[in-house]
Amino acid sequence: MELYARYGGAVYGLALRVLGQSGHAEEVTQDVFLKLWEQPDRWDPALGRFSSWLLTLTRNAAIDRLRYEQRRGYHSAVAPVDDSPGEAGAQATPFSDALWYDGQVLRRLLARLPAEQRQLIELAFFGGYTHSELAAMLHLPLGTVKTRLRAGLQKLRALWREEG
Amino acid sequence: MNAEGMSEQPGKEDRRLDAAAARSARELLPAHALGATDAEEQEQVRALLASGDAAAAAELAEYAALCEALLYSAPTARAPEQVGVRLRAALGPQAGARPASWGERLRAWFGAGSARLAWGVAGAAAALLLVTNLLWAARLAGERAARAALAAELGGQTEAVALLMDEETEAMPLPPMEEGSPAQAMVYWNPARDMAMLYAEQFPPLPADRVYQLWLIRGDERMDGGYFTVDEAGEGVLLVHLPMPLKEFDALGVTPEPMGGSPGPTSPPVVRGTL
Repeated sequence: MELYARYGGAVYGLALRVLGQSGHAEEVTQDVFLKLWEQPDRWDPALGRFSSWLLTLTRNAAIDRLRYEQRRGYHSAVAPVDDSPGEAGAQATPFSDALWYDGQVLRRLLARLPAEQRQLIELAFFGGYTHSELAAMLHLPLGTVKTRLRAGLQKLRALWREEG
Repeated sequence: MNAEGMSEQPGKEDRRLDAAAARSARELLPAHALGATDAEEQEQVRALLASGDAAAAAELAEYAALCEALLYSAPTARAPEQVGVRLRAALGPQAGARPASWGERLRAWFGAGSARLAWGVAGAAAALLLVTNLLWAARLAGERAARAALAAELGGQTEAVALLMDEETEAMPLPPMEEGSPAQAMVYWNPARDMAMLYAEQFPPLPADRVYQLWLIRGDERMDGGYFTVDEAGEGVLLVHLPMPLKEFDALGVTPEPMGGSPGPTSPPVVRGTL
């Protein structure tokens, strides 16, 4: 339970961000930690930072759950950008300060993007949608989706660089 | 996020791309790092990297770093107490400790100096277990999948039932905006919970590519409350995660929107209620 005490808030927060529904986010959180417990050797240092690997695992599990719920007819939106620092009392910095800082900066910078670019980045990253899926979902020409998503990411990267 | 994004390296084989194909593939790099490229586009990016374009590899690595940081951008949130309780229950009495490997357990049984003997015994035991386990695994896999599906099915319902059964839960009607429309909705919410439930009735059916989207309205701000569809009878249910207590909003409204929801309302509301 040490890992849960340290990373539980981050895993649950990310699952909630993807699913927008606390019950589903709870279940994903539980599944992620149970898998971690059942297969403690799954993480290999060659895969990168443990926290990034754990959050990638969480994101993938949450997106799988989102797709499952959508097939059942239940819909939940990818939540809008929240530029607050996170829930008081939650594990504020379970990771190295630099990683946590980068995440907070990006959350703030995302909110500075034009709404149509931010929406595409959020749906692609937190919803797991590809170019063609986004185009079909939003009734936009494929070229428009590609252009907006690329422009949004380029702008986000430029803003991120400015922040140093 | 494309997991390959952090590890893709130019191949040893130098495969040249024509300038147009290279430019087209280079434009895909940001989306590829995000995991938003379709299969054909992924092939284009792989071909670009295999051509030995070091600048493209560096650019992809930079976007991969940005996407890694995006993982940390979700606000941390305190998971409800029951998650920890369920995990402790699932993990049993050893919840506080890492499970010992078979090697560690055998060394403990036979003593540290007899590790070779222990591994021999472990090998024989593993062979026996393998045969037995293969037989059981097939049976258990089916049962486990069925239980997981049932648990997932019940998860949302349990939450809705808990909300509705709570004596503190309040109900707020959202009347139709169009005169004569039979559409109506009721929002159930509880000041002690960070969720609410919207129950829609007699909503007009929508084409398959449209959904109803709930808006949490505060001043000029319209916050996305999630979206839902309705069945043939016009009934639909939406469980809403509330970013703040419902009483802090001025009103709630529901509008038809494209599948996936919109950043802001694009249609007149079907129902709307003031808090």
